Amino acid sequence: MRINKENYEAWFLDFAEGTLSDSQIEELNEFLSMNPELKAELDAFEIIPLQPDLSVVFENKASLRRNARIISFIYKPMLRYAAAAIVILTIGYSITRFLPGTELTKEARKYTPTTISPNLSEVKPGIKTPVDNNNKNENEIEIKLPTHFNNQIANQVNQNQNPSREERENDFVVVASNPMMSKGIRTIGFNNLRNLQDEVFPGKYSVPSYAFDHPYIDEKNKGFLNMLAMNVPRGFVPEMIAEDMKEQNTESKPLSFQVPNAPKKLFDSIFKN
Amino acid sequence: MTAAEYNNCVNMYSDGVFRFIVKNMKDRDESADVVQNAFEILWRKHEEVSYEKAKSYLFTVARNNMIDQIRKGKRMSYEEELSETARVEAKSYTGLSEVLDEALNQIPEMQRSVILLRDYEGYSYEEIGEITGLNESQVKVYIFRARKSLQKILVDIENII
Repeated sequence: MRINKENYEAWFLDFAEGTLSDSQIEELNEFLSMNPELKAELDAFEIIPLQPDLSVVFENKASLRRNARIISFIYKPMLRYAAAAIVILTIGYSITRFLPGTELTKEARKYTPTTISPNLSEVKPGIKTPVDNNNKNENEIEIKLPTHFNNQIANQVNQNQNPSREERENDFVVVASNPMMSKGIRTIGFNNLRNLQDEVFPGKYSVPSYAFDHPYIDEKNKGFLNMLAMNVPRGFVPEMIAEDMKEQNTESKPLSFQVPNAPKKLFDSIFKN
Repeated sequence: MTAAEYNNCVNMYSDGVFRFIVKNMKDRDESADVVQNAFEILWRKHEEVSYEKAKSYLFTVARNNMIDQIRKGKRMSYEEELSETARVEAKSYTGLSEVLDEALNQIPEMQRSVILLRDYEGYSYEEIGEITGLNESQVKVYIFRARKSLQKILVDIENII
């Protein structure tokens, strides 16, 4: 851009800062020769840099820090769905019991021991976000667990070592998420794990059975499923399924056969809105 | 941006944002509220905002919030501020920084913001443009005027002293 009366101040600043090229300095001199009244302005211009007062600091940094939000697995709307699920599953199970002979019934019978009968007295809620945030609109289930949480990573975390970037990024997965406002997949980073592991792992946590049918849970996450299956209360996610997955390396869709598609539909109604 | 990166932003930028806002608003409590609000917004958007852009995002949000606060009448209007601060009072000054503070008080908000972003935070003109919504040439013009104004005010104050 050529120098003119509209932008000459920007040029003066560049000149004072020594960022003009030789040809630009030549152009500036030419401009000043045609506008001598501005030369005094340039000559008088002086840069007085301001220095920040480093003693001025934001005191309450702790109030700004956040942890990844881990919101209770069981929250009120979920309880309603859970209650509905129990009714549906009970009815469905009864039907398959008393109307034998169909393929579906035969399939369902294989899983008879795995009928969902959640014992809510055993269910521990996941931790709630420790930070009281103001985002009132966010009403979500967010379950984040490691895919390959193992002693090696736990030790690295405890010893304050940095797992590799690959480990940090791949070892955590959103099991099931129902972000009403944001549909992005969220992951827990290494630093958050350090904060959370004592509270979340090891332990028994309720996980909706339909989480196993979540599209995020695929073959590559079976390590996670093993861990998950071993850590959830019996009766809620059946031990048999855990064993199946562990020994047969199966894909994670056993519960979709239990009762005619109820969990899947239920899942879809909750998580795919 | 991950939650860990967000927390890094808290460590690295909260002081700078706070200094920037305090210089403009003068009131530490109000400035702390603005900073708190800016980080709250960043947290809500942290999955959309990249780590690299977080700093300029924070300054942009904080500055906009600060201007909103002023416009809402929580502080005096620009005009009142300018007319009040334009009065050169016979104060006693103990050092250059205090004199510069006084001089900063007397220049318009936009000039003050761009020069603070430049000198306090070392932003490039392009980055300052992103924060303030100006183009690069306009930023330079504002900074040139700000420096010229400061220079003049400093001379005036020195003359009074």
